[in-house]
Amino acid sequence: MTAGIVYRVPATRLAGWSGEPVIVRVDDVAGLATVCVDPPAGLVHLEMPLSPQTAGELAGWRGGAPIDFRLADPANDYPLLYACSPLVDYAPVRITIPVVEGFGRAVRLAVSLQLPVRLQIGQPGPEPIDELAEVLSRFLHGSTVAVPVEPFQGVLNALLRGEPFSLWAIAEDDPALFREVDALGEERLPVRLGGARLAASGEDQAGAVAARFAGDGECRACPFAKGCLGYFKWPDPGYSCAGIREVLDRLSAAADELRADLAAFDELAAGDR
Amino acid sequence: MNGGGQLALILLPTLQCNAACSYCFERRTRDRLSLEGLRVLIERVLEYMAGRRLASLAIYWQGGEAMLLPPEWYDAAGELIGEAAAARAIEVRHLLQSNLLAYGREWNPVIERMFGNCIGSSLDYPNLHRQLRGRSPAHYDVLWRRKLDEARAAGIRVEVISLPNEATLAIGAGRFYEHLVDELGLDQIQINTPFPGGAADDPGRTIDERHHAELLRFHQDLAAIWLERGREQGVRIAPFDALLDHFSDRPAALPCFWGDNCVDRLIAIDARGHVAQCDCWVTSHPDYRFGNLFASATLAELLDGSAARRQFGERPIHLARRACIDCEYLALCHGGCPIRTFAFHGRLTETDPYCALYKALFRQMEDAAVGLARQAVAGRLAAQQSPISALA
Repeated sequence: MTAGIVYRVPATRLAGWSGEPVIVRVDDVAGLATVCVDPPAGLVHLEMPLSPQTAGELAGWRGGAPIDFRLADPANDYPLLYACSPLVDYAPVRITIPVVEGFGRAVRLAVSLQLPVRLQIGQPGPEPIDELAEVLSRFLHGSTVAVPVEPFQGVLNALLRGEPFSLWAIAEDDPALFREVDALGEERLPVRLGGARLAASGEDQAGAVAARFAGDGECRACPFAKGCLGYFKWPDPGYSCAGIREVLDRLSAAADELRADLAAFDELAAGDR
Repeated sequence: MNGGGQLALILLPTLQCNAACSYCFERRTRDRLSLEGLRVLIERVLEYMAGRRLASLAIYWQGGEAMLLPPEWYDAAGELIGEAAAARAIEVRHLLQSNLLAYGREWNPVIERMFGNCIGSSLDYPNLHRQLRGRSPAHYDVLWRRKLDEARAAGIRVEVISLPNEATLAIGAGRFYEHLVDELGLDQIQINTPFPGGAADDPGRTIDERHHAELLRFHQDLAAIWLERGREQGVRIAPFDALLDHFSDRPAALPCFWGDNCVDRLIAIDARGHVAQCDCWVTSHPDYRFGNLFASATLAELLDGSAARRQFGERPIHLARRACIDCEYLALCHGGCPIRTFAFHGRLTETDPYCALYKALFRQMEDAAVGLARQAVAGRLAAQQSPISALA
């Protein structure tokens, strides 16, 4: 285990956990209950799939630990999010949603229920990209949206402040920050990177993977390359980022607009004094 | 330790009433809740809340007519509930809804102590339906006005819920506002959309679908009048005020039917211990009751085992699979009110019959919030540029 890394660990491998930051994966509400009886030191949050079965079990759950619910089939299962909304009175809840066709409805419902969202963007095709643009528009301008949608929120904040950012870190896929532990206790790269097992010199191996993030071709001309670090060129380096570029351009324009608004507000406030 | 959640309990300690309003949907009985019965019910409610880690309880005392129980009963009830809640570290707030007809000065101490010196009442204008048995609505108005004056003279704040009827639509929002605010001096008003409580031919059917367009216009006109005249004078008209707060990023107390699911936050219990989604269900639709709390060991068992309650819980899920998911105001509404839906459609799995009215109001108040924010900025800029501010 390496200091400063958050490990995603199945509940079955928690015995003897020595206090490093940990995300605990459970399969069902019984698993949630078991972990919550004696939560490990360093618990970041619990992670559980949200399916018709697990949603049905949530009715009486009032545990106090933060939970990240993972919606595998957002196009069909989005109404299950209603099972999560009563839990926000007790602990933070987040919904992780893969960007696949039909995912937009899940995001729409999640933000309507005041549930923060983490998108797993991958390398989306044209239809999910259109939905992504619609989701971004709602995130930026919807009068009823008041919760973060990542990675939009993280990127917007960085662009607004002119700070460097890493999309890998915001998306929780940076192997220097996040690692998997499998059912056998083996340490692995994040799932986005294929979940390959780390060799004894794990850090070096992760560094070698990171070197490929720099990408080439399309990345060289991209103004977001420093923050993106080839995120969307993985796993298929031939993926065209045209749609993603439009999304990032809109985020950048929104950051400029917001910065100008904030400056105007500061000016107005100064004029009052 | 309790979480941050709240439970709203509509408690009907009696189903008796001293009025005979022609639009009333309640099936009245002579039942009254005893203090011993109250002790059992409250203990089970608090036990449920502790199990669900709910931190605060708002009790809405209604009837029947809640003031047909004597003030001494409420004194004892308040004490009993306060002690039981304190033992579980649960905060309790009491709110009284009454037609005021039984009000007298003997009520003043308990209204101050238990209800924060405030009573919610009902007032329709013009009054077509509220009346005593064998008497006219005009007679009722005279009695109610007298009680209003007496309560106010004792320093009690009276807030009203008003239900528009055909005559209200005929006189228009301007005259309605003038009567309630300018003539009666009311500054806390809630406008409810009407719905029939019973069968289609029930006298409770005050405004039918043919009048929905007029009702929409009435709401929009009233909202515009309130924005122009009432808002800055401290008059609050629900739900306009809550919507304006919401769209202005201020904490907003939206009505019970605008939320993700009222089933998670609200229950009603009547004098016989029947539990249902709200007062409308507990008094009018026995088939949709969740159970009887006197007959159940725990409220959790009653609620979790209720097939009727499951239907309420699943309603937003059904609606989200249909049109509601594409609504830009989904976050505010989630399909609206189950009782209004049931009253008009005879089933729960439809959207609220006032969907178009709600959307128009959301839009109107959203535009108003944006307009007011722009106006505020322009006002500050103008003040900074004025010659007087330059001298300051």
